[in-house]
Amino acid sequence: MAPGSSSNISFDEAMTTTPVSAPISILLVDDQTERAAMVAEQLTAAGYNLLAQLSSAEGLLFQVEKHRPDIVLIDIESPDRDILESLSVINQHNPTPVAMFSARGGAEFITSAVEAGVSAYMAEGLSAERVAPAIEIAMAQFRSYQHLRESLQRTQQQLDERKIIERAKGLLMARKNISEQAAHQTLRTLAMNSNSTMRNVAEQIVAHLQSPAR
Amino acid sequence: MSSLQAEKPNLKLLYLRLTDSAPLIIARELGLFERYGLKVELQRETSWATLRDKLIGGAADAAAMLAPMPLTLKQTLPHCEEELLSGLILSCNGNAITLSKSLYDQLSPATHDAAGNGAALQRFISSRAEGEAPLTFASVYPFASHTLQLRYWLNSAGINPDTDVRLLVLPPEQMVDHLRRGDIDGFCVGEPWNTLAVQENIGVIATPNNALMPAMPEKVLAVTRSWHEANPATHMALRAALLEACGWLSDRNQRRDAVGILARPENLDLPEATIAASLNDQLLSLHGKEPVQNTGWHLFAHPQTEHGRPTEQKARELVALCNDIAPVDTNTSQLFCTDLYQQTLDFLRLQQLGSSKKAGTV
Repeated sequence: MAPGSSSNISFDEAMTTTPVSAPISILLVDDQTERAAMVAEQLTAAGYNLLAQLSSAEGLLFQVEKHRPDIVLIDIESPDRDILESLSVINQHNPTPVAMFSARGGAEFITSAVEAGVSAYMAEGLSAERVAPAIEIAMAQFRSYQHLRESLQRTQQQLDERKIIERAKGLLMARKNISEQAAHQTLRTLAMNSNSTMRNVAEQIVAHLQSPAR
Repeated sequence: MSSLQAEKPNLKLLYLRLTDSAPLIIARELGLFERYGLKVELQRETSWATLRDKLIGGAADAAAMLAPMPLTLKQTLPHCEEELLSGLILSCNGNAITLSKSLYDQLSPATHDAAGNGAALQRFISSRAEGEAPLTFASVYPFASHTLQLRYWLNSAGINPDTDVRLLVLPPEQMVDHLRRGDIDGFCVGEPWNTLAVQENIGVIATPNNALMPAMPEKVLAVTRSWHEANPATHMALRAALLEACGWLSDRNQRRDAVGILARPENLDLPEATIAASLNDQLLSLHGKEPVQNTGWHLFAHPQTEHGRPTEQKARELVALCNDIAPVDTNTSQLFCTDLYQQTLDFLRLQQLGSSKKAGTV
């Protein structure tokens, strides 16, 4: 979904208003500690009352009972979601799942929540519009955590790639007694001829040339 | 073979790690989706709520879902304007109630069956001292056949499910671990998790649930109403492929082949011996004992039987039972779409006619 595509969601107006007098209280359940910290920081900065931050749903029933949160935010992939779900079915005072829909009946909210990986439960008496801004914050943080991880992964891959290519060049230079430039050229030619990448060729060369009798 | 013009040929289907997810896995293995012009990706989920949200959020096209879920959506997901409907019941039965080995060892039932074990449990509970923590039993979802069957069994034994024991919900995959740790005293879950608990000698199957409520709809093929309206031909192709897979699974000999396929790491990722029991109608209720025959452990849909036909009557019965747990909107029976099932039967019959005609002229 394109960035900004949430502009036609009905709770947009609610997002511009900051939480009023009694701040909404939140229970956060996320086993990714870094991500949980990001979400917690943003929620607190926006004036929400973060009651507790759990890394698993272990003891979730007890925590909900104890804190009586207005909202429970939980990773959509958590296997413990059905436990939360049972709370709301058995006792209507417990937080119920949020699945906001646009005024036109479209599923934009739940779609973007699923994409971001956030699910939310809200207490009796609250309106979806009122809790939306907090869920939006969590969704934004989940998304940026995802981007962060992806870009870290890419950087790591690039580093790994450079390392293996340098190593293959070094081995070629030592074994074939050729210059760095010639070694680079050899790798590139091999890659082009075998319709493969420099990285793959470098890996093969390292595996091949790296004999125990150095 | 006449082919359907599928509006959306590339699909994603969701399922949980359970033996009765077999129709989806088998349809892919046998190339049945391709036969009807579909390219299907299967994705395993760990919780029913997540499976439902991904379906409603449009992250998937269809799912093998607990039969009562589409019928109780208004209760579980208030503020949701989408509806879930089904034109195919994939299977009936497939569940059992298991007690922890340590609890069972204290029961000494007169007979090892639903009634005998229930009566022994009732005696045990009423003999417990005042103030002792109640026994805890888990099922997989509030509005699931598992909860209905567990409550039915407790009630029949004179145990009040709301006051005499504590009931909670756990994901299927976690049942056996929680039983091992002593967090729960028993559970009601789909196969193969009951058999696994017995094989690991931490549980005893008190009763298979087909002995309690025979042919209760278990898993349905669920889609959202808006998806169905946008993709009627795709939906038909999907139902045809899955009904064919269900029919294939009705053959006992073929079920043996299904065991090996389901066991694979990319599917259920469990030992063949664990999956084989229920698929071969074998009830292994006590560790180290010979299994006994349990006909109808899994009843998959078949064009020649009524197990796969979703009817308003079946929906009403499920909803009435759910209504005992918590008040639900009872006006949802039309979400079990008999007409869609009938369309699938007609379509498959035409396909057969077509291919036998062709075969005749060759």
